[in-house]
This record gives sequence, C-alpha cells and structure tokens, in this order.
Amino acid sequence: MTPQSPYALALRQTGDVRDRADFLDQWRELLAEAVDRLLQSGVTGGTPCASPHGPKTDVDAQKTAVLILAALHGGSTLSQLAQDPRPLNAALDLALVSFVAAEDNTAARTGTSSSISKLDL
Amino acid sequence: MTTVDSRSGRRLTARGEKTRAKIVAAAADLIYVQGVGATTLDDVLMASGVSKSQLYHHFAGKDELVRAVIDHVGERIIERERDALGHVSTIPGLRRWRDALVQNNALRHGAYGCALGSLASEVSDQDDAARRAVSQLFIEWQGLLAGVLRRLQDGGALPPEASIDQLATGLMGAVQGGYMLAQTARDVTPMATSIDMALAHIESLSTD
Repeated sequence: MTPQSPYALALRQTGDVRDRADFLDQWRELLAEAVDRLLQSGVTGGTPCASPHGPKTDVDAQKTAVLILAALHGGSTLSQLAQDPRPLNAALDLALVSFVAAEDNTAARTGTSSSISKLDL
Repeated sequence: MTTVDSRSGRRLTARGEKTRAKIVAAAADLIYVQGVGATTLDDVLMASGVSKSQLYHHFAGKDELVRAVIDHVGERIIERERDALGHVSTIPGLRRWRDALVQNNALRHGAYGCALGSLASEVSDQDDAARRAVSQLFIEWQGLLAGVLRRLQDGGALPPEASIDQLATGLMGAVQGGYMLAQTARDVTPMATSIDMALAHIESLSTD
C-alpha cells in the first residue's frame, strides 16, 4: 500500500464529520470481524487448535481493529508529509505484527519490517 | 529577546514583536479549531484586533503567516514533548506520557486533534516549504520517542535486536492516527486504545 492508495485517500479529513465517523465505525467493525476470523482459524500462526490454551484470547479483536485503523490513518498522513512510504509501513507493521506473530517470528520479536504491510490490504 | 522580522529582515521593536506574537497566536488558535483552509486573513484580523496594515507589515500573505504558525505550534509541542519524554527510561514512564497526552485531549473530547498532526494533513499537498517545516518537526518528535526506546533497550527492557527507529516510527503513526480517530469520533477513547495497543506491543518485545 502506498500513501496514494484508495484506502489512505478514504481516510483524509474531508467531508461531513458524522458521515466520516459512521464510515470509520463500519470499517472498524469489518476489521474486527476479519481479525476475529484470523484468530479463530489459526492462520495467524498462533496454532490455536494445537495449543493447550485454545484460541489466542489475549488478543482483543476490537482494540486491534482500532489500532489498525489508527495506523492506516496516522501512517498515511505521516507518509504523505515526509513523501516517504516508511511511516505507513512501520505503523502497519506495528499494528499487524502483534497478532500475526509466529508466521514471521523474527519480525514479530524485533519489530523489524515484515512482509505483512506488503499484503494488498 | 529580539526577533528578526521574516519579511523585512529588520529587527522588531518590542511593540512590533508584541503585535506579531498577537497575530500568530490568534492565527494558531483559529487554525487549530477550523483548519488552515477555512481560516482567512480577515478572521485573523478580527480575532487578533490588529489592523490590516499592521498584519501586512509583518506578513506578506497567508502562506507566510501559516509558516509562522507552524514554527509557533511546533516550538510549543516539541518543548512539551521534550519535557515529557526527555528523561523517560522505563515502560511505566512511557505510560505516564501516554496518560498526559490522552488526558489533555480528553478535556476537549478529542475535538481538535493534535495541532501539529492537523497541520500535517493540510499542508502536505499545498505548500512545499510548509510541508518540509512540519516534516522536520515530526522528525524531532519521533527522535524523542526513539530516545526513550533506546534507553529502554540500553536498560535491557527491549531486546538488542529490536529496531528502535522502526518502532518509534510505528508508535508515532499510532499516536497521530489515534488523535485523528478521536477527532472524528469526538471521543478520546480510540486515541487511548490505539496508543495502549502500540505500547502493549512494545512491552511484549521485552526480553523477560
């Protein structure tokens, strides 16, 4: 994703505040559902089925969705400002790496750039 | 302290300095509440109570005034953040910084967001000199965050392989995005959540 992507553009602070708030609420809801599905299906690499503790209950899908949305929002603004894709990449990495852990364990542990933000989000 | 007028290059008299400061403060308040785009020089005249000739004596036009506002707002925020972050070297210290940011914004129900972040989204595709000035301020702010994370790493609270710049960049994004969500929701909660989640991740990297 680049700062010019439709997602980043959709987050710009334009238009009616209430419309934008509704739009962001719906988006956050979709993100939370997606995070929840990922956690349930175990594709996040946490292997919840094999784990004696069941699904990763320490990850809150609603709060993760807020962070992802904030990372998109803040990261795209800072990327646009700096004319540099790194802020958006770093913000999304931070938001996604916390629950997409084991797939790329090194990135999750060190906070270095992972492949996650290169997904066609 | 004497200020050199950016326009004429002359040193300002005490009175001239006071007038200039009054114009910049009024413009900064207006821009904070209604944005750069919606703020006119007439608004600034009305809010500051100075005459048109006084305003044009100090500023050639709106762009120049906006740049003075960026300097003014930036100085205030960097000073605040330097006070808040300059000596932080523990996770609880970082949480206290978060509490102060959230509490400050809660007073206005998140209504106006971050003064610097709002400028960022407005000047990016308008005025390149202004864009670079705001960008420089964010580099300074992020440097303060990186300083905290580096001290955490030196103290063993973060593993040596953690990429400090990457984490500081990501945290800055979460902070700014949090402000923006709070502004839209007219509620400080998403800002608190966003920073909490980012800090929780940083804490989870802890070696022990």
